[in-house]
Amino acid sequence: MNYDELRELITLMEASDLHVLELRRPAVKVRLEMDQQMPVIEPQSALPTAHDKGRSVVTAPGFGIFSTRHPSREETFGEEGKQVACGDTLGMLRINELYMPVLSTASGRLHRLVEDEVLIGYATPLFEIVVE
Amino acid sequence: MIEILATGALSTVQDLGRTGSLRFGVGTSGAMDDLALAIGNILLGNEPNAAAIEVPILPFKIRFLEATDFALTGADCGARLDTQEIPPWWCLHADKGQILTLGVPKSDARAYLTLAGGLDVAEVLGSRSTQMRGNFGGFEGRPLKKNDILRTIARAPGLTPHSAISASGFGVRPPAFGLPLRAASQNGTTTTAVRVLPAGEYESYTEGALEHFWHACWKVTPQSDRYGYRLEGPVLEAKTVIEKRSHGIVPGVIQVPQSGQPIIQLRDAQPSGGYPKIGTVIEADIWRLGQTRIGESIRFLKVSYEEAVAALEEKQRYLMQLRQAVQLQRKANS
Repeated sequence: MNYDELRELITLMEASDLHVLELRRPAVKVRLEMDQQMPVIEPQSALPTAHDKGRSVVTAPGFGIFSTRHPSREETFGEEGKQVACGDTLGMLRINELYMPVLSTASGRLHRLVEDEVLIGYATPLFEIVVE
Repeated sequence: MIEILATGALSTVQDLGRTGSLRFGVGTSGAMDDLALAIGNILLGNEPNAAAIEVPILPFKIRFLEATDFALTGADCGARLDTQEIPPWWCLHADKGQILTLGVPKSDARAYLTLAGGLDVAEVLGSRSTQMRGNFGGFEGRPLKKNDILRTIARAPGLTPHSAISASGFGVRPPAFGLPLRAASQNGTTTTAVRVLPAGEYESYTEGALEHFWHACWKVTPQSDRYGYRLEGPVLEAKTVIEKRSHGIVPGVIQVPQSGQPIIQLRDAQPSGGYPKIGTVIEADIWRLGQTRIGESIRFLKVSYEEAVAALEEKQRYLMQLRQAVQLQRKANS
């Protein structure tokens, strides 16, 4: 991690109104925190484990603004009550102009836990899948 | 390396264009949506001018003959890698033997398939774009056909030793959201807008014609392609008959033939013409035309030269910020 990369990270945080950014690589761990306060939904402390008693919880693979709909499409990926298969795209996290996919961890019926267009933190539970 | 399994007419290899040869009578060619091509290359960490496939008519299907990263930008075609659905404006890794299928888009006009390293076709006059008038450049100087096999440029050893894309890939927000530009339509909705500089014969048109030019919704007619868009709307009348000798023109020039119905010259336009020029679509907005479909309408917004330059700078800044963000994402995966 050099100065230019740190500067890129700070630019990205400013452009995205991010309060905290934590980056981990094999030999590097960087945590950047902006001065101003910004509401962030913190992850729950005790996350249900996958396939716990016939259900699986899909958590956020990173931070960003969550949505179940791609902006250029009308239909949503992860609708309430939808039957999904393991690996299906359920939603997306937007960081600035980038989109990261949120994928189903099991096959079953989908139950949404978070509204669209909410800024969420890493590991926030997003969906519960009732395994059938 | 990929094999074309199915393609409509006029899928071609394009890069950002063959600039600098207009004086030899060679048009620019290049991607109709240069922004989609640029973003595809950014997603893959390619050279900015790497060549890709422009797909205007779908469906389109290829087989990957070796493992590679690829990106799909431009029109959302409900693409699938085998059975896996691919979101729009997305990059992904394909294994050898996998099949990529692009369906009919619900909106927008052209999709771009970019491959890691860029397509390996010969550079002619500094570009890999297909020159349709001269039948050179691109892949054998022609649109792609079933059974064509295209290779990619090998990366330097150690540059990208393995895929920098996670199994599920990642994407970008379509530029229509990052660089929005719409104008009021006649039916109360909004329509695609492009910014225009008045051109050489602008002052030769009647006040009524200029009023129409800036305020009408211009319909893109079926006589529209990579050469140019013929528009339909109110007749634009000149104060007197304008007769010009043929002179140099560039993509974006809006000519008005005797019918009074304007033509926007585009990427495959010939480099000279004699019709009077009422305006020029600014360079920063030509990509918006590239994604406007036949039957849709566009509006012209008047700008100054300074505003046109500022728009180009805004577009370059947008791409630079996107490149920085993608580089971070690729580093995290590599």
